[in-house]
Amino acid sequence: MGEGSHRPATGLAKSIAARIAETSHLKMASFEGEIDLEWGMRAETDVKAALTQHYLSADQINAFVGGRCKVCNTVQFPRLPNCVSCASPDSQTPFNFADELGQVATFSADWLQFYLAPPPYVGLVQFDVGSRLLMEIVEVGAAGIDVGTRLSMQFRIKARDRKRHYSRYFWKAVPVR
Amino acid sequence: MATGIKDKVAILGMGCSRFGERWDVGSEQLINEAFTEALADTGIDRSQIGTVWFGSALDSVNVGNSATPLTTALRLQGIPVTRVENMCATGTEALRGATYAVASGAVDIALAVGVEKLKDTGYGGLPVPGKGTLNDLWMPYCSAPAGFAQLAAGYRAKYGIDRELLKRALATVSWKSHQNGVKSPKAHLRKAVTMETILNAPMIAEPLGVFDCCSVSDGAAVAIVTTPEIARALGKQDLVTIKALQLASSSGRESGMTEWAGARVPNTRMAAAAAYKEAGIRDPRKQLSQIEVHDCFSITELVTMEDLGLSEDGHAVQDVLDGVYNADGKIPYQIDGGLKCFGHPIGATGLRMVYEHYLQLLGRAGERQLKNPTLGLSHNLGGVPYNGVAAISIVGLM
Repeated sequence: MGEGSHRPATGLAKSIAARIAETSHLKMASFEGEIDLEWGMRAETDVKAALTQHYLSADQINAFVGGRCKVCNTVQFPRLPNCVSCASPDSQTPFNFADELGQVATFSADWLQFYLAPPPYVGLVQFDVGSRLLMEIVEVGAAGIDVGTRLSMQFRIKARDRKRHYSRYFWKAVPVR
Repeated sequence: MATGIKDKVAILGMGCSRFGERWDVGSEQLINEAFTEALADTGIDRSQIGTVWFGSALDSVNVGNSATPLTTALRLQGIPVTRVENMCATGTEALRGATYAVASGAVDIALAVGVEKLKDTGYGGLPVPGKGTLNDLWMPYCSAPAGFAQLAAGYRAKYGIDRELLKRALATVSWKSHQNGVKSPKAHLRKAVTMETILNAPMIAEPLGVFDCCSVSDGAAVAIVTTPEIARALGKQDLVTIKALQLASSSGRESGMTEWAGARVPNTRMAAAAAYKEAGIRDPRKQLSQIEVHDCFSITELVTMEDLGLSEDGHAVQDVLDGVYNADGKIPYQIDGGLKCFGHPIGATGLRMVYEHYLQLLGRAGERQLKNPTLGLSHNLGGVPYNGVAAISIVGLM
């Protein structure tokens, strides 16, 4: 590892080992953008990002840095001026969620929402450090998930803005198998 | 010292358009349809209306923003009109504004209007709204049914209820509303369906199938309110008055902290407690004659039975299966079909609920008329169970 470099959180070998096999060539082609499917109206939603907001909140979105309250010690995401627990103003110090583990508190498989590999799973992730966040849960696979399923965090594509050729990223929850 | 709203404001007249797929008209005609009925009900001239509170939720796909779509539709020139939006509680917010305007003494007569023209959006279900520039960067894209379906996971986990038993109870919730909708001439869906049809319907958001989701509709509803004294002076004999109007918003605790089990909606409980206090209701199970809850999804209605204190916590499944909330049960729910079958044009819904109470209380509900109702409760839930607003209105005979 050279100076300034970072060891990958997962790495290629572990990523391949955790793969979910897809035997449909049509699906694979659609994932790679090699065929142009008709996705319906929900795929037309404009996912344009406010770049100034993205710049302002870069550590929250890119590094998953939320807040810890200086008054009551509650950790929270997003990091807003007033604490989610005690409402103390200007009380937040940085707290990194990227390496935190959690579990499913609530969830649903959403067959209505547009998603390249339906259904998307969404749910409240309950972090072991005592916080919750509504997140996308990916790599669910045939095993499925339920309340209590253990989760870790991974940095993933949040949205592809095809009009402006801009992909943006955030963190998603992955079942710990 | 605040004294609350109870009996300070009377409903002078109400109107409601036919809900449904109204390809035949635009939002202006829907507003006019409801307004014409309400105005005829009052017996006043439109020039006597002192102010308007206008609710529409999805401005970009509905009638446009501001007050002018309403003032243009009804050709109301030069009176104060405010547009309100609070997601699915928008209709109740319009009523709250109009009621407070009268109670304050600022005007004698106020108009509350709610409208939505959802079918023209082309969506099945609701469009995907933006959540603000920061939230859009991290919050998952999630449909409304997936937001509410999470209550089912939380409810099952908290009370240890079998997945199939909960699914059957949810189906019963929808079955009951379809039974009721048949008797509502203005309802969107007026067809009874079997339990098998509901249980075997395509999945929308696990565990909610198509029949667990309310109809997405076009429609408008209107209330014209005044003081009880003016209503009597105008010749009204039986007065329906506002007993309570309460609203509770989430601060983000449910979705940001670990205390919420996902099996209830805390906002509803807070709004209900405040509304019961304002209306002087001590035993809602005995005192409330009829309930219109925000049954956007079957699971929402089921947990709301507990949130309103009508079922014991963890007992709503059994109460539903026992028929407690059927038209001939102890506490009739959604007697007009609810959001499920009467329809859910968002801005109109809160007012549509009160319209049903108004008809029932005055004995005008036709073949779905309940026996001697005295108090009706309406409940709206805007947003999602873990971050939203709950609104409750209670109306009754004075």
